[in-house]
Amino acid sequence: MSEKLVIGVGNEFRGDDAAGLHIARKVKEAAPPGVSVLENGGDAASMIDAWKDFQHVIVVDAVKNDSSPGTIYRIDVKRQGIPPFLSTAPSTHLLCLADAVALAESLNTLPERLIIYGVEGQNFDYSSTMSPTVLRAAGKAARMVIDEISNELNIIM
Amino acid sequence: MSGSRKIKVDYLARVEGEGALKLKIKDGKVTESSLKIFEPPRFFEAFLRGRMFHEAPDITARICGICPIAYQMSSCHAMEKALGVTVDGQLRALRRLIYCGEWIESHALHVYMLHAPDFLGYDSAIHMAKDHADIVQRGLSLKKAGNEIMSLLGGREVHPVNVRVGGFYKAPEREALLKLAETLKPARDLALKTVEWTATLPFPDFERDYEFVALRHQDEYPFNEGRLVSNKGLDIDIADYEEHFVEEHVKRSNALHSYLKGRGAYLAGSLARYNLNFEKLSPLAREAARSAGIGDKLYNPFKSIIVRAVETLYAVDEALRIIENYEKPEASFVDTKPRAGVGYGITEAPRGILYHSYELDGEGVIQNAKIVPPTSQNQKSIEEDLALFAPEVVNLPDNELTRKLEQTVRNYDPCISCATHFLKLEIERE
Repeated sequence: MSEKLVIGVGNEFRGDDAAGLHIARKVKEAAPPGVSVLENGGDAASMIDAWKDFQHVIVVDAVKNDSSPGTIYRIDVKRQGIPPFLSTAPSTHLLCLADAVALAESLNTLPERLIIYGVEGQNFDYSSTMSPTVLRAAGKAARMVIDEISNELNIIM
Repeated sequence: MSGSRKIKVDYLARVEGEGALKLKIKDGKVTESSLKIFEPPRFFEAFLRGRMFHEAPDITARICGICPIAYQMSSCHAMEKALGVTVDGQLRALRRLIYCGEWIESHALHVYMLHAPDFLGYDSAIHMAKDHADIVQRGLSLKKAGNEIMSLLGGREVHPVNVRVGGFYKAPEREALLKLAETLKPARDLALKTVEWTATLPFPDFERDYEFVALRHQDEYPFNEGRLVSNKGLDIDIADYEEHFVEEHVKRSNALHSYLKGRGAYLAGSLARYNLNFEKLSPLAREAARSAGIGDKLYNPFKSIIVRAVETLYAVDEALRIIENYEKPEASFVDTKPRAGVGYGITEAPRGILYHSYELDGEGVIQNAKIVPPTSQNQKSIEEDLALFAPEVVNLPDNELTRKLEQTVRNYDPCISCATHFLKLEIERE
C-alpha cells in the first residue's frame, strides 16, 4: 500500500477551476513510484475517506484570493491551518476543505502530512479551456508537487 | 454573424440556500406566515424544447446534484411512456438498485449531517463530530455505501453517465455486484443502528392531520412505478396528475405553491411513502420501525428522521435482495424509436414525488416539458407547519426560535436544508 496520495480537485467545465485536475493528471503521467493519484469534483467528504489510508497527502485546487492569476500557494495544514480562501464549498450540499479537515481531525483520520497547493485562477466561467497564465502556473505547480512527493523534500515557506 | 452581442440575464435559473420567513403574531397566535424557500427549475423546461428525447435524462439530472437519479428515472419513464416502451426484468431491477443507492446516500447525509445536529443542539455536523465522532463516522460510512452503488451502476458518483432511455449503456457483471454486496452487508448493520439511534432523539409533541401523497405499487415499496395515492381518497394514474394538482402563484410571495384541487396543501416524501406503503417494507425494516416505537401511521413530522433511517435500512436490504437475484441481461437497454406523443413519469426521489411530462414530435424532438420537484410541492405544507408550530416556541429568544424553525423546515429534507443557517426570520409581534 502506497503511503503518498495526490488529490486533484476541480471542475473541467469551469475554466481555470480545472487547474487541480490538470495538475493531478500531470502527476499521474510522471508516475512517481509509490504515489496514488485521485480526482475529486469538490466533495470534501469523499476526500476524508480517501486520505485516511495515506501518510502524506497533497491536495491541489484552483483558488480565488484576489492575487495575480497564476500565483501558487503551498499550505502545510498541520502547521498553518486552513486559510479563509479555502473555506468556501462549491455548493451548500458539499463540505468545503476547511470543514473536511475539521471533521477529519475529530474522526482522527487526518494524514500525518497534509499539504495544499493552490493556483490562483483568472476565469471561472463556463469553459473547457484554462487561461494561458493559469495553465502555465499549473504546469509549474505540477512540477513542484512531483518534486515534493518524489524526494520527500522538506520545504518550509 | 458579425459584430458583438450583449446578453443580459436578469434572473438566475435556480437560487438555492436562502429562505425568508415572515411571521405575524398577535396574542400568541400566528396571523400571517409566508415562506419563500425554493425556486422551481423553470428555465430547464424552456431549454429542453428542441432537444432530443434521449438527452432529457442527462440534462435534467443537472437540476439536482443530490438526486440526479431521480431526475434521470422520472425523465426515462416519461419518455418511455411517450414512445410506447416498457423496461422490465433485470433492467427494471437495476433501476431500483441504483435508486437504492441514491436513497441511501441522500438519507444518510440528511439524517447524520443535516438534521441530527438540530436534535442534539449543535450548530453543524462539524461541531457535532467533536463530541460524537463515532456517530458522524457511521453516517459517512453509510453515505459511502450508497455512493458505491451509484458509482458501479451509474459510472460516476455525481451525475451518473450510464443511465439512458430504455435502460443502461452498460449492464454490470454479476461478480462486480457480488463484490459490492460484501460492502453492503456491514452497511445494513449501520442502517439498523441508525434506526435504533434516531429513535432515542428528543421529539417535540407535534402532529398534524396531513394529506400524504406518494406512489403505491401492488408488489413493492415504490421507487419508479405505481399509482398516485393519498390517505384521503386520491387514487389516480400518474398521467392524470395535472388534472388533480395545480400550481398557483401566491400573492405576497414569489413562490409557486402546489395544491390538490378542492383540498389544499399536501405532503410528499418519506413520511408520505411510509404511511401509504408500510406493509411493503422488508420484514427487517418493519421490525426495526416497530422497535423504534413507530407504527404504520405517523403524523409527527419531526419523526421523519426515524422514517428516513427506516427507508435507508430498507434500501440496503432491497439492494442486497436485487443483487442476490441478479443475472446480467443480454441487452443493456430496450430499443426506442422516436414518435410523436406525450409521456408522463412520476418517481420517488428521496424527497418525494418528482413529476416529469414531455411532448415529442414525430422525430422525437421535445416540444414541451414540465417538471415539478418534490420540494416545491411541499412548500405549502412547510408553511403551514411553521405557522402551527411557531406559537409553541414563539417566546424563545430570536436566534433559538430561528433554529427551531429551521429544524421544522428540515423535517422535509428540502433542497435547502443543507445551508446551516439559512432562515431570514422576520417577526412582527403585536
